[in-house]
Amino acid sequence: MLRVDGLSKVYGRGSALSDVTFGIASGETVGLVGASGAGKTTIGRCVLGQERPTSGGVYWNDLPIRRSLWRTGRERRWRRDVQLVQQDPRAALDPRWTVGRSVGEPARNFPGSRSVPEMFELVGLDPALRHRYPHELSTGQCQRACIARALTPRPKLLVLDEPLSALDLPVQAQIRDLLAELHRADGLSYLFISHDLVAVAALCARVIVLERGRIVEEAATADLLAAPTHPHSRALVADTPVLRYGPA
Amino acid sequence: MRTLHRLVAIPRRDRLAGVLLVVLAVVVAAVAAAPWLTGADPTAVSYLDATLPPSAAHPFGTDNYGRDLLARVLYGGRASLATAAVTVAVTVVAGTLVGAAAGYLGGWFDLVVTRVVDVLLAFPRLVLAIAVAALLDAGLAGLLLAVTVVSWPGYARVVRGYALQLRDEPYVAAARIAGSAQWRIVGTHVLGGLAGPVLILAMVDVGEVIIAVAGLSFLGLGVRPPEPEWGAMLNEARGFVQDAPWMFLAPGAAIVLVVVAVTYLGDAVRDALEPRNPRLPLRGARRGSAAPAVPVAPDAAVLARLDRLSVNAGDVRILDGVTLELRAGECLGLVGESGSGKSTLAAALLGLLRPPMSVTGSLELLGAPTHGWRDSDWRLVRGRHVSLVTQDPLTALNPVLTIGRQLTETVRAHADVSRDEARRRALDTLDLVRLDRDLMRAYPHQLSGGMRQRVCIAIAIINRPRLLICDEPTTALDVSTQARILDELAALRRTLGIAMLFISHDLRLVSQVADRVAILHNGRIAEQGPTEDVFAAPAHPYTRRLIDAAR
Repeated sequence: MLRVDGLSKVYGRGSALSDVTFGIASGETVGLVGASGAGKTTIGRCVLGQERPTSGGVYWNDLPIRRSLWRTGRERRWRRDVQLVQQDPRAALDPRWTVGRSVGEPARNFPGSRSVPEMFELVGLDPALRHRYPHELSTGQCQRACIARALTPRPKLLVLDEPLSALDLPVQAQIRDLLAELHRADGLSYLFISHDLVAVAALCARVIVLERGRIVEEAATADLLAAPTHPHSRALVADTPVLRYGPA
Repeated sequence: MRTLHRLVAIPRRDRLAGVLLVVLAVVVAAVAAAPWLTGADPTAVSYLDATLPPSAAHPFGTDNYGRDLLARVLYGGRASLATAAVTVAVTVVAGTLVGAAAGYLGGWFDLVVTRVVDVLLAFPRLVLAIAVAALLDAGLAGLLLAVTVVSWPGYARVVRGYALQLRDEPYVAAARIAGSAQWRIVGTHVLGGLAGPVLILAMVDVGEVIIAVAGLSFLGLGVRPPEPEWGAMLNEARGFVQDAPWMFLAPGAAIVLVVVAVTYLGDAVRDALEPRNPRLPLRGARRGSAAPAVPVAPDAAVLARLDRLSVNAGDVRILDGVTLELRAGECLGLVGESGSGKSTLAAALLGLLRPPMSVTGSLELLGAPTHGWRDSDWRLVRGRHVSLVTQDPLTALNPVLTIGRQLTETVRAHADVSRDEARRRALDTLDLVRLDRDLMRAYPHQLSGGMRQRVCIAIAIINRPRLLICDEPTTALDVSTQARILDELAALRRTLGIAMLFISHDLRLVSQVADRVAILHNGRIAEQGPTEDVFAAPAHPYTRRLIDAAR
């Protein structure tokens, strides 16, 4: 479904990505992990067409992704198929718009989208919050609204760029459960960008480890956690915090 | 909608603004209702009545042609105010659209607009307006165009800056991905975000435009005599300052009144839409005070003792009867979600709570009750015995000072030592947090996130405090950097014997660093005890929920 082929990106003199190749099949959940500055977000931006690759390409159903002023039918297709959930949910909602209006924004552009009340129900948001403004909601509720907005046009792939790191742990767990449930129910694909292996492990079947713009390891999540082969993956696994004491 | 509420509330909060609003409304209404307020013809010449002082028949007197000045001021206001209003409207619309498009679209359009604006702004505003007005036919239309030509670049430049910021807002990115067309994004998200700043700009500018219009008319460009206009009337009055001062007093007073009112209201609008935090005035910094005014005992066994400490902000209770002890050398983990009062607790320990926050209960620091401490007392303790590491190292460091300067400054704020001694301590501390000594000359933006946080830690420990408050110190960092910073903090505790208050929402981190934990829930301590006991056998249901979420 999504194919990233020999993707490279150069900013000024520094190279952000070099020769990144991977694919995501329909219904597959893939985690993209690495330290900050490893190029995770740049990959996400290329997949969403927000960034033009220096070389290589991104293909959606074998058609190259690019942003153009003149929208063709096939571009519309890709534009609605790939949606984004960002890190800071409060900043991702227009502070002057009601939450309901924000959630309904894609529906105006893509015919056949789901309705706002339907989306609120799907992500477990109180319908009464429709007429509220982002500053009146908790951060967790804002993130639910962002997920609702991303799902409104019935996408096939959700790019999740650190969707949990602005949230408290208990809220993280709730949003993680919501995303897992949405995948189970709809067969939605995820490209989950995170530095937190625990969150990735809970959601993704496969993990790609990125170090300084290169893929250093790609493995099934369980295998990576149990036996990471690359030194960088091993360091990532070792550095991931775990609860030290706990009730039996 | 919030904008509207704030605007409506202005007259209630600011009496003078309310009065001036009424004055302005009266002037505008009077000018609009000129034919009904005066029967006199503003252009009717009567040499018999020339330069009469104010009287019942001519409340403002008459001019050298015997024309009634009240009528001329009222009718003249129509030209002055209408021209100013139309000019501001045209300027705002043109400047905003051009600026927003330039900032949002970027590329060649931005380049061209920026250059044109630079050229136009390089000329003195009034001189350029005179040149343009002289080129065009005299008359109101030419005047309007001249003032617009010189005014729009200022708007375009400021609006472009705002649009550049808005373009990178996550919600604008979200709108693009939601499939919204560029023009629609500019029309809704970008212009919506610009409304407040542009309104402020326009309000502040109205006064200046009125003066520019009057100025050009005064010079004979613009309204043609005998039609009245305030600036033109001032020109006519020039020769009669001695003989008939009322001739310039009437239009002059009108201009002053309107400009003062509009400018003050503009400032009021800006204050309402860009609220700044009211800060208490900070008294002059004292450096190197050796004798503490407060009797703290740095070797106290209990570093901080909170007894039923409550903090209210207005009607909202942020901390509710917190009783807590921090002992020398220990690491206390404070766990809570956002809004639980964690950071307020840290602020209380540092004496950083400001009105409208009010504190009840007692707080003892280093064996001394802090009740009644003034800010100067707190400053002796803060950064010396108790210091802070915050979540975001980029905002905690001053971007324009070198790391070395920020380190030595911290030393010299608390100890009367030489530059060399401060430098020596700075280098020692850099070694302690395992940073290269060359970083003394570096600026914060040249460092990675992890290095910046090490610098923040170095600044916090350079005076060898007894207590280090770490408020979510690793939340902005990735896991590997987080692990290194935690190692660093643990090593510092061992080598320097510093006690730590480790504040985090992440139970996993707290479980690794803390000797004891306190769980904060809705401003109350739900539970506290040794880390192992609390986590192995949580007594409070909220603790259990937190633990479930962390596994």
